Amino acid sequence: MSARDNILNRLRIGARTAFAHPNATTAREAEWAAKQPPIGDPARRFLAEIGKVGTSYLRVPDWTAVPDAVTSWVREYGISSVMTGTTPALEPLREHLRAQGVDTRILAETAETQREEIFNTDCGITTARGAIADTGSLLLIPSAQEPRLLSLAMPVHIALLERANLFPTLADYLANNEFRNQPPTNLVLVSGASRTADIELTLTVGVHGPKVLLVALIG
Amino acid sequence: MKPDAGRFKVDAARATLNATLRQNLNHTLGLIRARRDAAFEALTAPEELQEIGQAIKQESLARLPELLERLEDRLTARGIQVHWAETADEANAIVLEIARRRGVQLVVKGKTMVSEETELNRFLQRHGIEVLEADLGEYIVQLAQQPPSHIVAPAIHMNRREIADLFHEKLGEPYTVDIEAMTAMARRVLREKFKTAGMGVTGVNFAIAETGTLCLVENEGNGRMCTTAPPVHVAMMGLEKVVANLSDLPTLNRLLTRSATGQAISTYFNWISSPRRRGEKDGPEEVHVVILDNGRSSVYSDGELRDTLACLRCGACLNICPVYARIGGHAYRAVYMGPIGKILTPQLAGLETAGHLTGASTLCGACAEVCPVKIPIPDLLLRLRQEGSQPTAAGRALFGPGAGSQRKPAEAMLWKGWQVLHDRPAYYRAATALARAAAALLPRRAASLSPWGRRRELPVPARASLHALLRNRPGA
Ligand code: SF4
Repeated sequence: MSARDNILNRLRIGARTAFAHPNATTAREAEWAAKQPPIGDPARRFLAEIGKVGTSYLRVPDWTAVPDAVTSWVREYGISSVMTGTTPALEPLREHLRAQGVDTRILAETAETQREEIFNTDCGITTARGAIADTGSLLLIPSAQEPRLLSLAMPVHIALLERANLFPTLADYLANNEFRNQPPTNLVLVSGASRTADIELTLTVGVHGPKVLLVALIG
Repeated sequence: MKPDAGRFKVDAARATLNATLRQNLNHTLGLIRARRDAAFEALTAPEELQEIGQAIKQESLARLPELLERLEDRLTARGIQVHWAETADEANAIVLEIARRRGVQLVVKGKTMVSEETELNRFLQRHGIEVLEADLGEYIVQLAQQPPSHIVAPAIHMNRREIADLFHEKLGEPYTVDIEAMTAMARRVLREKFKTAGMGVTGVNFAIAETGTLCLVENEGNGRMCTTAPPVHVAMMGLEKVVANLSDLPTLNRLLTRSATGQAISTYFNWISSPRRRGEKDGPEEVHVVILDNGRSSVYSDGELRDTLACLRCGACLNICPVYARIGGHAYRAVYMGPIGKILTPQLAGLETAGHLTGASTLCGACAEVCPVKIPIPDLLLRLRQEGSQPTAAGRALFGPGAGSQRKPAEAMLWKGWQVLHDRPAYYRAATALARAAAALLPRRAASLSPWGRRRELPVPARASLHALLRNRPGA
């Protein structure tokens, strides 16, 4: 018999002899959540939460205002090179940055062929699928157009988030069944710049991921 | 590293006298407890959340075999390869086989306690494969050639000066006690490794059966690097990590990060549901999951002890434990230390090897209170103590191997004598009279009784017994 069958057989015997604690938890979770302090306006809550961990943001009325917002960050943080995916919606931004003399790269091949370029770019720019207001978390679903390393390998990460895609809580996002129906290769909730507290529990920002996280809230 | 009763006494005694260790632990544990408490106080009805968390884990455990099969089914359907290991050796062999097939020379590792359990690093290195820990705390203890002393904060026993010395000596970097500068050094070294590693190894915090999703909780980004940059990702999980529903995640994660670090959520909450798909430009081509038993199924077979498997590995019970705070993590000589270690290690390693750890507790109950999934650690400690000291001749080995192994003949005889005395009034009176008369001759410190007795003064028996007082009271 295989290890698999041995293990499962032992567990099946155990499952019969030991006590079970069946419990309908979903209803209790909803009840508990209803007791919590109200989240209020999701955008305001989201910005308040990301502020607590030192994430800066700019609010812009629509996509046409994004290039200027990004350019102002490029100046402020002394960014000399940026990288985006192939997302067509970001083409105006790329053109704008190039016109400003910013070295604007595209991750168009693969991480293997563009490795050195990826690890030697100052800033990655991605869109966000949405965000979770109560914990101040960006909801990123990397894709063929926007690979995972764009939000991970560069010292600065700029995330572009539409206000309409804010969810009050993680449970609210999961309730829409998008994930359940089609789990993406990778989904990551990002709640700030990379950090550690492994030395004397002292918070230090920028370990393996970005040292700076910037959010443009659109709408 | 193997638990050892004799060495435990020596190590624990030595640790309590180590002023630096005591200072380091006091500082960090104080901070971490305050953060955890603040995070829970910010919630309305936090105990209710703990109860829900407990119910979720209980339900998942009750359905464990079914959920594991479903998990396997879902993962496999999306191209994640599932392996089962009955023992630590089997798990290591599986990882080695994958590494060999892919020609891997360098492995980068995220924080995983299961790989500590199987001693994967040593195993792979013996087979010529370099392994580098990527979590900063793990990296520090790896450089220091020590095991982690805490399941969440591996280098919690060291202060910045000790780490500065280490980095200076091992990395040849200029000496600095600046934490930011030291973190930057580690970032520099590990960056290069992420670029070239052939395999990333991580643990799993939650494995969702419903969707076939592996969830990793972390702050540094090393877990994301390990699961994104190398061409192969191997996730190692204890079989108890499976959770039934996607909708269980918000509650469990809320409890985990609040209990572990006092955060409402960790910086990264990383969900993996497949290897790189066609057209995607990064992410591993192969994703493997190694599901490890290593004694868990036998723990599972006992309805009471099974609660041990609900553990989220948050470390809150370590942070609040008065014993852990005084002896630190290394004295236990076990992968899992502190309260959870005291119940888990004897069950995984056997009572013969690790039964003595069940005695290293004051049964103060703080761990059970702070545990996000309400594991009744003191009850389980008592149960295991009982298992360890029951007469083997009775043949009622509830727990199986190791039952009765902690029985001390002298102690058993003492109890037998106690029983005889208390059964017979005449003997009892004679014995108490004798004890009172002999009390003056006894040493004030009960040195020979136990380490505990060595630090305590014996109470002085009253000059007259209660019996005598009652008999002689006026009007009697
Ligand atoms: S036993 Fe409870 S408190 Fe201790 S690590 Fe496990 S979940 Fe956390």
